[in-house]
Amino acid sequence: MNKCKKCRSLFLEYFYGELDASKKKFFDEHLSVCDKCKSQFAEMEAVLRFTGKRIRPEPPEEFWDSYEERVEQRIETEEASTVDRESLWRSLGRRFYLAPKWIYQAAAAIALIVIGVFIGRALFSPRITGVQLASQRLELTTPQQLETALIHRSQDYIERTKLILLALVNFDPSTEDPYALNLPYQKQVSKELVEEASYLKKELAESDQERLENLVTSLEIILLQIANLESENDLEAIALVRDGINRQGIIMEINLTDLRLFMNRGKESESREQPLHKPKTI
Amino acid sequence: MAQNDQILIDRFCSGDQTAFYDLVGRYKKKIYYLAYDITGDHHEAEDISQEVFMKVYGALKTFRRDAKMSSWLHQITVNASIDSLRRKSAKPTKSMGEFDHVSTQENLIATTAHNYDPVKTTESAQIQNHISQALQKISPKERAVFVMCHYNGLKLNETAEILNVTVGTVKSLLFRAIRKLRKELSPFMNDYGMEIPHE
Repeated sequence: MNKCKKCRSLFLEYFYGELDASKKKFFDEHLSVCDKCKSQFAEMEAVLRFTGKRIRPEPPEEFWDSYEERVEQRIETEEASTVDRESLWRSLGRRFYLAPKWIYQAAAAIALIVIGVFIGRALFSPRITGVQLASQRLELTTPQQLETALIHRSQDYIERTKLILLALVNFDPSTEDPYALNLPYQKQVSKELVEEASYLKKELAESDQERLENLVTSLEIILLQIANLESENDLEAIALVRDGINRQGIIMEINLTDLRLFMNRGKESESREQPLHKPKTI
Repeated sequence: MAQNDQILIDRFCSGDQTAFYDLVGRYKKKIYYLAYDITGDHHEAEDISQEVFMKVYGALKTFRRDAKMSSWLHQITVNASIDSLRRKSAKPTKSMGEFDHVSTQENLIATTAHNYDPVKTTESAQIQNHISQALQKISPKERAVFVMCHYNGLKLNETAEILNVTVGTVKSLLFRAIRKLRKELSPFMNDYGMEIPHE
């Protein structure tokens, strides 16, 4: 068995004539007595002999005659492009080196201004809220549609403000961790709502929605107080805002407005549906 | 290193540019054939062989005197050819089989025109086609080892040195290549009277 293993490891060397005399003798002797190794070797030999029939296509003589010339041309082209690249870098370097000092200073100043403008726009430009965007996209034509859209936007605004206010009203510093309030987030949302209030108030004033306008104004003041809270541990300031909400009965006002708008909507839909219920007159 | 190679390198290092082109003349066929056997594409083989000489031109002055020039050339060629095959596998172009098939037919017709036997010519062309297609089925590394030993006359230990692996690894790659070729070619071998003996 060991001899078979050794013999098989010599198959390739034997086929390619790379065995020394002693190994070749061992190989021949083993193959003459072991049919299994003999058959395996014959199998491999047949494949190698068949693949040996491959004829490599020979390129024409001209291909070889001009070969060195083509290599030379490629080397020259490569060297020329390397020189071009190097001289470009050298000339650029020289140009920058020789430039007056004020050019660097001006370039640096312009770069700083550009970066500043980008950062400023990213951080401080007013964001368009989803509702504003939606209203911009809506193609509203009749005054009725415009008013309905405005009321819907006001309701949405009031609803979002209510969530902020409820979080503050329900916060009990004696039992809850101030971090649970997530004041940075509340402040951010309040800031956005304050910005939105200015547009909304203007539109409500234009469409004579006085009650809604007054409510949004009250909410804007409270939201401004929340947006300006110093830190999340300023429990006194949080308590003051909470007292203000309770004192003014803002939550109650919001609920009443919700109810009023709901009832108005009901009446509107009734009046739209009424002609359908009218008995037909013949 | 062959004495002549060393003389040519010394001449090149002392500023004789013609020595380099003598070196190209000495090795151009070996390098082209090896690249052709691995890639199966004439244009690719020409491009690779020229690139090999360009690399040699850039690095000849720093070439180690104890190293073997032919091994170095073969090493660069094999690496460049395997890289080319891997690049090509992403975007299939003219296959090895197609090129070999067409060119070999032209070649055979040209070389046997004086003694033209249509039956034998067709049979030979078919064999070339089968072998080329079977060679395409094996991995680039297996193909490189197979063509180095089988078509380019490199010994097993030379192949191992070029590929920087052991002789055992070369043998293992060769056995794998042969097994795959056997699987691909056995249906045709019987047709050409070369039946594979079974255990």
